[in-house]
Amino acid sequence: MKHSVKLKKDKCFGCTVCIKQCPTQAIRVYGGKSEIIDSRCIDCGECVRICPNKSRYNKTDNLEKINDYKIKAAIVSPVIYGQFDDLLDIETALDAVLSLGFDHVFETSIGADIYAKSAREYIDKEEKSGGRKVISSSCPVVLRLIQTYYPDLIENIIPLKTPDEITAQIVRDKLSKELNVNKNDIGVFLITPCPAQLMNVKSPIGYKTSDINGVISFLDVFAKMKKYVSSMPEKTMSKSLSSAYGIGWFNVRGQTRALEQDNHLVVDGINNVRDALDQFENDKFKGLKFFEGVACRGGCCGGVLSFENTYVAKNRIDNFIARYIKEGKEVMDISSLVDKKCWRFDEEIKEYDVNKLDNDMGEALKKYNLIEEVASELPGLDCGSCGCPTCHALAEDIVKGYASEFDCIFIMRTKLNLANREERE
Amino acid sequence: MNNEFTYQVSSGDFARAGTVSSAIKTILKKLGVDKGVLRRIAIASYEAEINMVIHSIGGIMKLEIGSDVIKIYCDDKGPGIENIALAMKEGYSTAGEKARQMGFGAGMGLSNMKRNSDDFQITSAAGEGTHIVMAFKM
Repeated sequence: MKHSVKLKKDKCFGCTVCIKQCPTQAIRVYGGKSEIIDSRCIDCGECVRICPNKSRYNKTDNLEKINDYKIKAAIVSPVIYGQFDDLLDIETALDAVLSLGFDHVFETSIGADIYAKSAREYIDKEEKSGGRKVISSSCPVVLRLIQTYYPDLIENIIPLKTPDEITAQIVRDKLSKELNVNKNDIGVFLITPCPAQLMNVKSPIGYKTSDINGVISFLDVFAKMKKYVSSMPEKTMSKSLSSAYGIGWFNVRGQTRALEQDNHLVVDGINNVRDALDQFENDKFKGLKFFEGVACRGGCCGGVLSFENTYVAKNRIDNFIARYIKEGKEVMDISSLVDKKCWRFDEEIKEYDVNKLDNDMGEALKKYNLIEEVASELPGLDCGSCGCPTCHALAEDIVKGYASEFDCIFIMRTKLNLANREERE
Repeated sequence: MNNEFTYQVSSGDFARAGTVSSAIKTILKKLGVDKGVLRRIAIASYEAEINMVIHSIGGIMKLEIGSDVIKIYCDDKGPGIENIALAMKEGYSTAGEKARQMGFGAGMGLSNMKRNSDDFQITSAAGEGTHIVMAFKM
C-alpha cells in the first residue's frame, strides 16, 4: 500500500526501536537502515512518533502548492483549536489559517456534522434489517488496518466518505456557486495533524477521486499561525459554522456522542484498535451497534503532526465545546445535505490481504509448517537484534528468502563458539 | 505434512481465554481461507474455547485442515452435559457467578457454534467429557 512515511537515511543508524513499535510488524532493519515493507504499512505514523533520532517523517504537500489555484480554500481540522495556549476564540484560529495565504477557510467539522446525521440514518436502517454491527469510516488508518489485516470486517464499515472529504465537496460546490467560478479553479487544501490523509486523498478508500487538492501538515504551518494567534487581534473575520458536536467529533468518543449511540464501543490507540478488531471478529461484542476506532490516542488531537500534548489539547477543545453548548452557537443549516448519495462510497473497499503465505492453500500450509520449524530453532526472545520485530517474524522472512538464520545473533554466537572449539581441537 | 494443530485449554483461566481461537485464526489467515468461512470459524472456535474455560475441567482443541473442509475438535474431560437439547437452547446457561460477572454465560454459546458451522456434532453425558466436532466447508 502507498504510505506517506519516509526516511532521512543519514539520521537512521539502525537502532531497531521502530520495529517494535509498528503495530503491523511492517518494519525491518536489514542492512543497517530501517525499511518499511510497503504492503504492510497502514500509515499510522507510530514509527515517526517513536524514532529517537527523528529520522522518520511523513511527506505532505508544501504550502506553496496553493498558489497553483486562483481561489485558495483551506479546510481545517478543529483539532487545531487545542494547539494554542493563548487562543481566545476559535474564529481567531480560522483567521490564522487565512493569514497563511488562503482566501477562504472552513472547518472539517461541517463534514462531521453531515457524517453524523447520515451515519445515524444508516445505522437505524441497518438495525431494522437485521442489526449488523457497524464500524466508523472516519479514521483512514483504521480503514487501512481493516483492508490489510481484517478484510472479513470490510462489510461492517459504514460506507460514507470521511468528514474531511465531505467538507471538501461542500466547499467546492459552495464556492463555485457563490463566486461563479469554475470548480477546477478552486484549490481545496486540508490542514491536518493526520499523516494518513495524504494517501487517503491520493488513493481514497471506497471512492474513486478526492475533492481535496493537497494535504498540509499542521506542524508545517504552526509557527506562522501561532504568531497570528499570539498577536491577539481584536477583530475576527471568519465564522465557525459547525456544531459543538462536529467540533468534538475528532476527539475520542466524539463520534459516539454526535451519533447518540448507546450500544457503542470506543477505542483509541492503534494497538488497542487491533485488539478490539480481533475480538470483533470473534463476535465478542454482543449487542454492539457502533464501533468508533481511532488510531491515535485521544483521537485526532493526538495526531502525529500535532504540536501540543494530546491531553492538554483535548482539554482545551472540550472547554470550547462546553462554552458553545452553554452559550449556543450559530450553525450551518445542513438539513438538505443529510444522507445525500454523493457522501456514499462509490466503489467497493479493496482487500489487500497481507497475511496469506501463498495463493495455493496446500503451498501455504507447507510454508506455515516450515516457518514453525524454523521458529522452533530460534531463541524466542524477540530481542529485535536481527532487525525483525519477533523471532517468529524472522522465521517467516527466512522461509520467504528475505533473511537467513545467521541474522540471529544467538545462532551466530553458537556457531562461532562451535567453530572456535573445533579450531582449538 | 502436518495439518493438525492441537491446543490445551485450561479450566477457569480467563486471563488466557481467547488465545486458542486467536491462534487458530492466525493460521487460517496465513493459509488464505475465504473471509466468510474465516469469520464463521472465528466466532465458533471462540465460543467453544470460552465454553471450555467456563464449564469444563479442561481439555484440548484441535484444528484439522483438509483439502475442502476445516474441522475443529473440542474434547474436554468433564463434567459433561446432562441434557444436550436443553443446553442447545438459546438463552439457557449454567454459567457460574464468576463467568457472568465477566460478561459470559448468556446461553448463546452452543447455538452460536451450531449456527456458524456447516456440520455440528456433540456427544456428552453427565460425569463424562463433552466432545464436539465442527466442520466448515471451504
